[in-house]
Amino acid sequence: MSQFELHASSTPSRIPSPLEVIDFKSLISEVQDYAIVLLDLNGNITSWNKGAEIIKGYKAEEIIGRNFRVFYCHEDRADGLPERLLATAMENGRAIHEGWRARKDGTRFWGDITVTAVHNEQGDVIGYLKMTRDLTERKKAEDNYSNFLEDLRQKNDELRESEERYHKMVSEVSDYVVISLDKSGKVLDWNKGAEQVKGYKAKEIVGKNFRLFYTKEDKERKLPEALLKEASEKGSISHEGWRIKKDGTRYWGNVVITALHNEQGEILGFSKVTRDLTERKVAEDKLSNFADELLFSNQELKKSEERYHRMVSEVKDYAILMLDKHGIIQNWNAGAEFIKGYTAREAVGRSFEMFYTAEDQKNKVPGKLLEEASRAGRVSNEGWRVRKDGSKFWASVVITALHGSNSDIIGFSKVTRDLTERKNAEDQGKADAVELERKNRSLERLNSEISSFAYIASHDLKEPLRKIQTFASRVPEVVNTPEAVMELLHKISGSAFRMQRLMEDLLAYSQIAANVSNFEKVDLNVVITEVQKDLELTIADKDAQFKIDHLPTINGITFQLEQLFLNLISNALKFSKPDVPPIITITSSTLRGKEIPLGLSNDMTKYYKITVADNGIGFPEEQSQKIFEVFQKLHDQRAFSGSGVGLAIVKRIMENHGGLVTGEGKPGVGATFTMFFSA
Amino acid sequence: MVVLYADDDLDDRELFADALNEINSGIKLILAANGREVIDRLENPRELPDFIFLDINMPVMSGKECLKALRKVDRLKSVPIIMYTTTSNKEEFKNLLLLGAADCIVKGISFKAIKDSLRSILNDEATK
Repeated sequence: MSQFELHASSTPSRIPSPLEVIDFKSLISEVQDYAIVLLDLNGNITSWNKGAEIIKGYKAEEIIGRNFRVFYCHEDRADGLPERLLATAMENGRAIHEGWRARKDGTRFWGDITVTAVHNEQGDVIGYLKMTRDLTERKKAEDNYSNFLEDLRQKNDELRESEERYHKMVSEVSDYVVISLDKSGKVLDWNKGAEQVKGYKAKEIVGKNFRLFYTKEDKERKLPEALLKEASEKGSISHEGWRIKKDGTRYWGNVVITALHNEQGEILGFSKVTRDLTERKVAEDKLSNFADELLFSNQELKKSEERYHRMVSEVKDYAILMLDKHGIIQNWNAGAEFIKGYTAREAVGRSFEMFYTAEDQKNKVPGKLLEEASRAGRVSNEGWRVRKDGSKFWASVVITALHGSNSDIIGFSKVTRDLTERKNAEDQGKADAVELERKNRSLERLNSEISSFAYIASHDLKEPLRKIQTFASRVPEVVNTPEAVMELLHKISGSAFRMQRLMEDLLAYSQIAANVSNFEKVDLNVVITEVQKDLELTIADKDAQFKIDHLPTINGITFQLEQLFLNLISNALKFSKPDVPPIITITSSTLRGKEIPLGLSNDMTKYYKITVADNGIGFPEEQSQKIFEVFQKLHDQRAFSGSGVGLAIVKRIMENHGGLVTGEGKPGVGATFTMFFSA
Repeated sequence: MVVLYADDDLDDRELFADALNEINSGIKLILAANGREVIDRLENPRELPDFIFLDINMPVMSGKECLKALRKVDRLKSVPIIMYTTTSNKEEFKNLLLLGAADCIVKGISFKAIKDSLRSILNDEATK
C-alpha cells in the first residue's frame, strides 16, 4: 500500500502574465523529466507535455479532455484521493502527494505530485497545474535500503548474541583450553578450561609465553615456535603430544592453533584451542597394547592351533574326531583312518554310529553316550566297535562335550584308542586267572585232602591197628581155651585185612590226585563193558540187570574212567536191597553248560550227561554231599563192606575231567549218580 | 545202673560190653548202632539211662549230632554223656565239652585199659 502525505503551501503563488505564460508554456512542453499537466476545475486534462507522455504513456490527443483520475489506481480512486487533492489545492493553493500511479499500459510508477491551484486576476481558482515526477527508481532504492538496514540490524543482533554466546562459551568451557596468543606466543587471555587443564590461574599466566606448556624435549627441538610458524603459513595447525601442567604432570594435548589476521592480512596473533585427551590417549595406548598383545596371543594361538592340527592329524595311535551336536563326523585324522579303516572322505559327514555294532546301535548306545557326555561333560566307554571291513576292535572311547561361548553344546570331541591287544591280553589274563583260580582251588582241595590223609592215618588206619592190639591183649585171658584164642586171632587177621584194603584204596585215591595227564578219546561203551567183566561174579551172584543207553566217546583218561564206573556199579551192586535183584540203568544225553543246575558253566558249551541209577537201599537226601567225602560212613561197616573211599574217588576223577558229579538218593528206593562231561 | 552205648563197630560194642560186665555184672547195658537209634530209644520217657556213651564217627547220625540233639531234651539234662572215640583231637574235644559232653575219652588199646577208663568214669560220675 502506498502511503502519502499532504503538504499544504501556506501562501498562494503569484499568477504570471499571459506572455510569460506562453513562453513558459513552450518550455513546459519540452520538459521531459516532469509530467506537467493543466487541469480545469473539474480535473479534466487541458494540456499535456512531453514528460507526461513519457511518464504516463498517453499521447496528448489521447488524454486531453479526460479526467486526471485515470492516473490513479483503483483503491485511490475509491478512496476519493484525486478529488481530495484538488480540494486541498483549492483551499491551500497546493497539494503534495507521493504514491503509486497507473501508466497507460497498466504498469505502476511511484509518482511525486504537486497540484497547484491556478487563480484568475480576481483570485478565483480557474484550474490546476499538476506536476508529477517518476520516482520509481528512487522509491525502489529507498525500499531496498530500508530492507538492507533492517537486515543489518538483525544481523547485528545475531552477531551480538553469537558473540555473547561465544564469550560465554569460551569462558565457561572447561573441557577446552581456549586462549589467545600474540604474534610471539605470549598468552593474552585464559579461560576456565585452561585453568582446569593446565592448572594456572589467569593472573599467573597471562603475559607469559605458551612455551611453558611444552616438555623439555619439545622446547629443545623448538616445537612451539615451529607450530606458530606453520600456523602463520598455513592458517592453522593441529598437533597432538604430551604437555606439562603447572604441577609438572603431563597430559596428552590435542592442539589447534589458528592464525588471526587483520584486514590487511597481517598476523595479529593466534587462537589456541587445546583439549586434554590424556584419558583417550591412555585408553588408546592401552588399546594399542591390548591389540599388540592380542595380536601376539593370536599368533601364539595360531601357532598352537597349527601345532595342534598337525599333531591331531598325525597322531596314529588315537582316532581323534570332532562331532557336531548330532554326532555327525566333522573331521578325521590319520589315527582314525588307521584304526577304523575309513578315509576322511568316507567318514566326514556321516554319523559316528556307524562304528558301533548292530546290537549297540539297536540299544541306542551311541545316543546314550552323547547324552551322558552332554550331561556330565564327558563320558568314557570301552567296547567292541566295527571297522570299515566289518572286523571288530576293542575301543576305549572318551567323548567330551564342546561348549560355545554361551555355554551351549556345539559338538563333541571323540578320542578312540584301539585296545584290542590289551583286551585280548586281559581276556587271556582273565582266562589265566580263572585257570589259576581253578588250579588254586584244586591245590586247596589237595591240601584239605592231605589233611584228610592225616586224619585217616590217625583214625581210620588206627582203628584196625587198635583192634589188633586190643584183641592181642585179650589172648592171655583165654590162653587155655584154644577156640577163644582162635577167635581173637581171626579178628586180628580181619582187622589187618581191612587195614590193608584201606591203604590200597588210599593209594589209588592219592594216585588220582597226582596223575592228571594222558587225555585220549575214550569210548564209554567200552569202559562199561570192561567194568562189567571185572564185576562178572558179583553181577551173576546178585542176578543184576543192566539197561544201558548208547554212550558217547569223550576226552578222558581210560584207567580213571574205568575206576569211576567200577566204583559206581559196585556201589549199586553192594547197596542193593536184600532179595531184590539190582537193576542198574545208565543213560546218556547232551545239554548246554548253562542248563547244568549246579552252575558248572554258564556258557553254551555242550556237555554229556551220564546217569547211573539203581534200585537199592538209597540214602537220605541230606547225605548227598557227604557221600563224596573220604571215609564217610553211611551204612554199618559190617553190613556193607567198603572203605569209604569209593565215591571220593568218583568225585576226584570227575574233577580231573573238568566235570561234575552229583548224587541223589531216596532211602528204600535207590540212588542216582549224575555226571557231566564236557563234550 | 543203666548205661546206653552207641557204636557202629561190632568189635567195639563187644569189648565195651565185656569190660562193663567185668566191672559190675549188675549194670544194664543198652546198645545202639548210631545216633539215630539212641534218639529213637530215648523218645520213650521211661528210658532214663545213668550214663550215655557215644562213638563219634557213626553212619546215619554221628555222635556229635546225637549229643547236640540230646542236650536239648530237658529230662536228660542231668544224664552225663561221654564221648568215646578212637582218636584224640584236643580241638574237637573242646568243642564237644562246650556242646555239653561230660567227658571225652579215647578207646583203650588194651582190654585192661578199656576197663580202667570205664571204671574210672562210672566211679567218678557216681560219686558226684
